[in-house]
Amino acid sequence: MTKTAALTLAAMLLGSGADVLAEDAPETYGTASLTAYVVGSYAFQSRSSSTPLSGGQGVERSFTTTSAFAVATPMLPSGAQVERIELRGCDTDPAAQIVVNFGSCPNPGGTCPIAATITTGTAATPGCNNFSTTLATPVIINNATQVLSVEITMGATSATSFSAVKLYYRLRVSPAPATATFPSDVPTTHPFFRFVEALAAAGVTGGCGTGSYCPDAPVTRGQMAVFLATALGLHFPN
Amino acid sequence: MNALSMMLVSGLVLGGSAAGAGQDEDTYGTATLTSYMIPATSFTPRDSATTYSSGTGIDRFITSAGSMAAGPMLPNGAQIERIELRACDSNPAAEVVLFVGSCPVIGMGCGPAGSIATGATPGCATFVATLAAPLVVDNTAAPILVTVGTGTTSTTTFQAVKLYYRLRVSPAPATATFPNDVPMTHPFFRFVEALAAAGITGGCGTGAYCPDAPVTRGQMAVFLATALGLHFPN
Repeated sequence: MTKTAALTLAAMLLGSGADVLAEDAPETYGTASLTAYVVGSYAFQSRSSSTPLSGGQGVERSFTTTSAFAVATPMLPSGAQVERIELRGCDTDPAAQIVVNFGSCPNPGGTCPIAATITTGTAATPGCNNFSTTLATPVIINNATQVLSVEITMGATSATSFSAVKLYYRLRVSPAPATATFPSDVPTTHPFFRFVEALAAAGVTGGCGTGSYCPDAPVTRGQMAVFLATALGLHFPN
Repeated sequence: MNALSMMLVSGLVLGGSAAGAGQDEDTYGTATLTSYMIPATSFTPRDSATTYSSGTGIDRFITSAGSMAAGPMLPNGAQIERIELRACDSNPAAEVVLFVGSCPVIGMGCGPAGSIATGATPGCATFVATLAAPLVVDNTAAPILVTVGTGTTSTTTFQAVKLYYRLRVSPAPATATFPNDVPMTHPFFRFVEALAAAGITGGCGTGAYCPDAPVTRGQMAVFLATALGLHFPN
């Protein structure tokens, strides 16, 4: 067999093999995993200058004269879904407790509805621990219209202190829009419609011609460099 | 030609293609150092008795005894290798001191990873220290603590602290998610496992990932959109 014939044969084999493989074993796409956002105690501020927080051991903070409130407003990306919250704190006071209220604030001047609460208990003295709760309904971040709120209140001594509140969130892909940006080859019925639209909305792709995205074309290494560098904003000196 | 000899030829040619890959083998990088900026305005007093005031621009200084602290948020696994203090010290009797550490035990002190002190009267400068051992961010168990102390007058002020960190890929797990084609010995094992752990891929069938199949533009859209959480209105 000549070299050309061998190559032709190999191309045929590779071609058919790949097709069969794709049909037999379709790609399984995942759902992004839970990630922790740590709101450290020093990202919190007392709600009033008349009730300052005091530092304790390491990164612990507490109210030492008056039981009061502290608040933090962490920044998570729009669309992220907070599913679980965790308090890293110490409660060795049988008469006081730590309470964390997590919610979001839709209106300036308005209250912030509470989505989840953690309490260490008034009668209990659970000591130093991670206290966690799973949200009954996940909170979906909406930076267009809401501001997050993590509020914590404790007793009036260092017997109740905290070092961090953690928000466990999952990144999500934006829902499919009503109309197609690339109707020629990624219409609203295309299995990847939602994902291609997300890339277009983020400004990562402009398609491969008027109304087309070429979803079945392979990605070259050169194109990959453009997509990754654009999507991640690479890379300026620091 | 029968099926067996076809497979043999195919194997030969595939072997050739592997040799071709060897000729222009990819060189993979290690993520570069990136800075995480903590401006002075993000610091709060460590003690309720501690007061502070503003200097020029966004500079701050402490007006009583004590120090200020910040709780930066860096991704799990990131490795802090260098710290920087942007400060002014024109006081021979006082100095600006930066401490960076992590706090693994609730209710206990924090282990130091690095510190900077301005010492003499160096004026306004950027002070840099490379950590003897990099501080690996552990968001599951050890919050990071950054504290700054100054003198009690405007002759010692600070503007910002910068943490220089490097993103890392999680270490290889003990078992393979896709044993059929990405076993533990596969050169990309660690990276494919990281993608699977992050929920970006579920593979291409039971126990398989198809590491040598090309990526189509459609598939890439799913991977990128999922990995980055694209794209909600802001």
